[in-house]
Amino acid sequence: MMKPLLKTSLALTVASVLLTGCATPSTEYGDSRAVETVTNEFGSTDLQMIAENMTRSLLVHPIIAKGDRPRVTTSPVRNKTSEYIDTKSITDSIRAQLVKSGQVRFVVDANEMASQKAELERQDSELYDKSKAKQKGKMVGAAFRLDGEITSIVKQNKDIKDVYYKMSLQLVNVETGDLEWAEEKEIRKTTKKR
Amino acid sequence: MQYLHLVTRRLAWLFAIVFAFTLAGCASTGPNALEKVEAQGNISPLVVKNVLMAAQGDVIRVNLELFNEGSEAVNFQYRVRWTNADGFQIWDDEPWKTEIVYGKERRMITAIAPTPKAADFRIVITRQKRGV
Repeated sequence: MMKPLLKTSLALTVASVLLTGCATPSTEYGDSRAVETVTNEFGSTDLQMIAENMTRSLLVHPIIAKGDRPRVTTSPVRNKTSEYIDTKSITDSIRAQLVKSGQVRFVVDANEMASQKAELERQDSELYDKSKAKQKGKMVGAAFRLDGEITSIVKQNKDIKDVYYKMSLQLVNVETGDLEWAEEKEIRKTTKKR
Repeated sequence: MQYLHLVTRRLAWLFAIVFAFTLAGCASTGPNALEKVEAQGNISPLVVKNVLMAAQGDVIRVNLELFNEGSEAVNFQYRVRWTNADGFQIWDDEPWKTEIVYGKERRMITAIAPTPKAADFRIVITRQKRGV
């Protein structure tokens, strides 16, 4: 016959195991601008910092600051790190901020050309009123091109993992090939075993 | 002689006006500038020493000088809230930036406005952990 104390302990143990197994994870909205340090891989905070840093640097450069809203296009940013990084997301953020500033105009890049062409051809069909449809042959080319790469250096021992990222971006004059502006943003993330 | 005296006085006034405009074009600072720093919670041992604002092209540039009165490194986070001349926020909340100030270090933080529409700002600083 089990002693009462033992019975109670056993009952409590079984109850706690059952309750833990029934626990449901909870989800809530977080601050999209908060600093994220879940891991030392490239993350949302890194993307936001890079986009902001590059945008603000470009805004004060004479090419942009003179106020004539030059036309710019983007080239794919090369990922030379050892991890997967959606580099298009970085250039999309930079592009959005520059367009919002009102100081720069962006034209369709190579990735978007197929959609742009498809739309013009669609409007060129007999279904559209020619006087109201957009005409082919009117696109304006970009004067400048944004181009860059992101690299990383990873160093690790048994207690520390240190990851250094460097994003380099430059503005190239499409006609002359001149490098008109260049900027770098460095980020270091360190993970230490407690 | 009287004519020379008159010309000299007029020139002096002209120089004074030009000098005043020159000063106005320079960075603005002073005790009112420190009111533009909003500390969320206790940021000690960090002390705000100075805040400067100047025009850079069409946008404004802000410099914040912080001093760590302690002897240990201190982490803090900051961001800038940009407003128009009427005080309305004209840009989305910026991401929080994390910085370190080492013991007895004087640190300059620079921020550039995201748009020429920004005419004023508030720098928000905190030592509370704002992250995931």
